[in-house]
Amino acid sequence: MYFSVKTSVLHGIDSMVVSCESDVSNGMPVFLLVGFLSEEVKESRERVRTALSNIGISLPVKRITVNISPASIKKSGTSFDLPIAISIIGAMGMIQSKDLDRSLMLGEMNLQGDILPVNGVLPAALSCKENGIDIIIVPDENKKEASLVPGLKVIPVKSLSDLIAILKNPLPDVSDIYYKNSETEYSEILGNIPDFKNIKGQRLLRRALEIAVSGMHNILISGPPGAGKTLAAKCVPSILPPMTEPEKILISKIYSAAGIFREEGSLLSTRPFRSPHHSVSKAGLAGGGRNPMPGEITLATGGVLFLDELPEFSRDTLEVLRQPLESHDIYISRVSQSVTFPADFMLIASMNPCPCGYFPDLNKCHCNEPDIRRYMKKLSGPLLDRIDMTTSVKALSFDELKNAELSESSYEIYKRIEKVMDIQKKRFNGTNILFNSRIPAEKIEKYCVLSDDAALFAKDRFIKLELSARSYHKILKIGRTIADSNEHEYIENNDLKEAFLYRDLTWK
Amino acid sequence: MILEKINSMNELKNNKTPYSLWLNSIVGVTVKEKKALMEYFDSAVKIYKANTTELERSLILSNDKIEIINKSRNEIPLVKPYNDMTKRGISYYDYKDSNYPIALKEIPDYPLGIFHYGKPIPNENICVAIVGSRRCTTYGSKAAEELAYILGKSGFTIVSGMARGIDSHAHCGAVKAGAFTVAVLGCGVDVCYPPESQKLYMDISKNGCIISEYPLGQSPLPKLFPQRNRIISGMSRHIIVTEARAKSGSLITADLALQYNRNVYAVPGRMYDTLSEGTNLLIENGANLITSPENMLKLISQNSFRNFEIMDELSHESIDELNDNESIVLKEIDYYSIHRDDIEKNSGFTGDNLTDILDSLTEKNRINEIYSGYYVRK
Repeated sequence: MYFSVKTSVLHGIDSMVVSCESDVSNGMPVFLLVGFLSEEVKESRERVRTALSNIGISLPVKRITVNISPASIKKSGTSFDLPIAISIIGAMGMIQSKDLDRSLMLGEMNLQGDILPVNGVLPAALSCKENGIDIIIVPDENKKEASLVPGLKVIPVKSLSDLIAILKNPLPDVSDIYYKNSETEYSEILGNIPDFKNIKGQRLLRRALEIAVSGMHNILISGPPGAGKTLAAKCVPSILPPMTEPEKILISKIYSAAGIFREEGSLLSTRPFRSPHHSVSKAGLAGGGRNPMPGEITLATGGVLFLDELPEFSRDTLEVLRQPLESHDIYISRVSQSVTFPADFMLIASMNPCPCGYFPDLNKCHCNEPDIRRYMKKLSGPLLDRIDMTTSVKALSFDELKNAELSESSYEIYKRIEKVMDIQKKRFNGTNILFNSRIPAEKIEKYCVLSDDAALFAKDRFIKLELSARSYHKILKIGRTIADSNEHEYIENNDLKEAFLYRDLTWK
Repeated sequence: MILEKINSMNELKNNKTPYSLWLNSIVGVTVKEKKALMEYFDSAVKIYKANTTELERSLILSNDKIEIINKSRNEIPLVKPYNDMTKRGISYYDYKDSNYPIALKEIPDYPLGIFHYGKPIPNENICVAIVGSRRCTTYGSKAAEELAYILGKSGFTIVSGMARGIDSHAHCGAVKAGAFTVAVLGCGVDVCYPPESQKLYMDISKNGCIISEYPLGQSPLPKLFPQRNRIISGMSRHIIVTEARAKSGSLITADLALQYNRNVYAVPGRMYDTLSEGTNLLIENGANLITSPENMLKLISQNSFRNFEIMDELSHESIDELNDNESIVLKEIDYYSIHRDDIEKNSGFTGDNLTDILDSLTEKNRINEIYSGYYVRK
C-alpha cells in the first residue's frame, strides 16, 4: 500500500517542499530508504524502526520502500525522522490521509519516539504558504517559531504516539494563536544595547560613526588599546534604524536555518551585532561545510559585522570578505549543493596603529618604521580598498574620563540618521540602490555632483594626494552622505573637506 | 696560467690597491698586526712580496700567522676582487693612501682601510657629523635637515650614518644644499641599508660618497653599527646630536667623539620629551648648546678658529602670514603628535571651522597630518 506525506528540505536559508512516500508490499522483507540522502538521513531508518517498535508498532514482514522525492535534491538534516515514520504507518493503513495532503511535518525522533526540535522551522513554515499548505506539524519546542507565519495552523507534537492519536481523527482546528504582530518602536528594540551617551569625548569617532551609519559605509577605527574602539562599535546597533517586516523575516530565517533562533514568540527585531574572535576560520566567517551553513557574514546581515583587532585575523580569512563586500551575498559551492546566502552587513573593523599600539605618540611608542609597515601589511590592499572610511581615536585623559557629563544620546543621533536615510530613499527611488555606499562606479557622476568650488578643491587634492580612482570615488560617496546630513543638494566644499578627514589610513 | 699571472702582475706594477685589498681580506691576522706590518714594511705590496725570513725578522707575527699569510698568497686571488670592485665604481684606500680621510687617522683604532663609493672626499672641507635617533619627531628631523642645509651651504661636508630618521634627514638637507655628504655604513658600501632608502643612497653617491670599512656584500649586522659610529666621530671635527633617547647609539657616537677630542653640540628639547632626554643629558654634561642655526655657525667658527657666516639667500624662507584663528590653532599643535579631538577641545574651534583651519595650515606647510586624525607641527 502506498502513502505519502509532505516535508521540507533546507537549501541555504530557504526551504523546499518535498514529499516522503512509503510503500509496503509483498516481497523479500527489507526496509529501503532512497532519494539522494546524506548519511544522517540514512541513519533515520534505525531510529524509525526502533521508535516504532518501542511504541508498540512492529514493522510487517514485507518489502518497505521509502522514497523522498524529488530524488535530484540532496537531503540532509535530521528533520526527516517524523515524516518517514508517519508515511510508513500510513502505508500500513493505520491512519487516514485526508488532512495530510495540506499539511507539512518535520521533526527528529529519538528511540523512544519523542520528537526533538530541528533547525529551519521558520523557512519551512514560510515555504508552506507559497505551496498552498496550511497546516504544519512541528516539534513542540519549535511551535513558537512556526507560528510566526500568519495564517498557518500549527500542530505541536511531543511524541510519535501523540501524533498517531491526533491523526486517527480529523485534524483539530488550531488557530494561529502564537503569532504576535510585533510593531517594534525604536525605544523597544534598544534593550541591552549600549548607548552612545556613555562614550565620553571622542568627537571625531562619534561623527565618523554617524556618517558611516547614515550611508552604511564600512569603517575602520584605529587607535591605542583601551581607547574605546570596541565600546563605540557595540553602540552602533543603537543608531541603526528599526528593521522593516521583510528584513525581520529574512534575518529570522537566517537564524532559524543556522539553528540559533531564540526569540520568544516574535520575529527577531534587534539588528544583529556579530563580533567573531580573530581566530575564526574561513568557513566560520564566510559560511561553508559539506552542507553549507551560514557563516558570520550571513549572520550579520541587516546589522553590524565587527572585526576587532583586524590585523590579527589571518590574511586568508579576511580575503574571503572581498567578494561579499562588493556583492552583498556569498555563493558557496560544494560538491553536493551550491547555495547563495545573503551577506548584507555594515563592516566595522578596529586595529591598533602599530604593534605596541601607541603610534604616533612617540613618547610611548618604540616601534620602528619597518615594524609598523609590517603590521600594516597584514591588511591587504584590496580589502582596505573596500573599507570606505577610516578614523582614529585617542586614549582619553583622566579629566575626560572623570567628566560626568553625558554625551549626546543614541536617540538624538538616530533622529539625524533617519533624516539622511529618508533623503537617500527619495534619491534612489526606483533603483536597486539603498544607500550612498552602494552607488556603483558608473553612477557616481550622476549622484555625487560637486558644487563649483568643491570641484576645484577635489581636483587640487586629487593631484596633491595622488589618489587612485577608487579612493577618489570612496571620498565622493562619503561626501555625498555628509552633504545629505548637512541637507545640501550638491556636495559643497565643506562636505568634501570633511570627507577627506575619513580617507584611507595614512602615515608618514 | 703562469703567463697570465705574470701579465696581470705587470699591469698591477704601479697599483698598490690589489695588495691592500689582499691584506684587508686575510682572516686570522688582527687589524692591529696588519697595521704593524704596514708600518714595518711601509706598504701592502712589500708585505705581499716579503718571504718568511723577512716576516719573521719583523717580530710582529707568530709562526702560525706567518703561515696564514703565506697560504693566503695562494688562496686569495689578487686581481679578480680588485677588477670586480673597480668595475662597480668602488675604490679601496688603505690608511697610507692620500685619499684616506685625514681626520680619521687621528683616532686610536682607525680602520685599516675604507671602501669608498662615489666622489672623492674633498680634504679641504671640514666634516661635521649630524646624528640622532632613528625614530624622530618632526622637531628633530627639521633641525637635522635645516642644520645640514645651512652647514652644507657654508661649505662643510656633512657626515652621517644613512640610518632611518635623523641620519637620513641630515643627508637630505646636505643634498638639498648641494653640499658634499658622506654616509658611513655598517655594511658593505654596495648594500643599501635601510632598503627603503634606495633613492637617498643614489643621491648621496652622486653628491658625495658612501664609505665603509666592511668588505663588499657584508650584510648589516647589529654588532657592526657601534663600530661604524667610531668612523663617523673619527672623520668629523664637530658632532651635532639633534634628538636622542637617554639610551641611544647617538650618545655612543657623542661619547666617542669626546674621547677623540671632537666638539660635541646638542639641540635642546623640552624636559618631558623622551626623545630629547639624550640631547639634554649631553648639554648637562657640557656639550655645546645649539640655540639657533646662527648660533651653531658661531660656535663652530669659534671652535675651529675660522669664520663662517650664514649666507643671505638662506637666512629666511618666506613664511605665509597666518590669520588669528590659524595662530590660535597652530599654538595647540606640537612637534609631538596631537589628536584632532584634543585640538578641538583646546582651541575651541569645532567641526567645519576646525577642518578649514587645519586645511589651510597644512596648505601653508605649517602642520602635517602624520596619521589619520593626528597632527604635528612642521
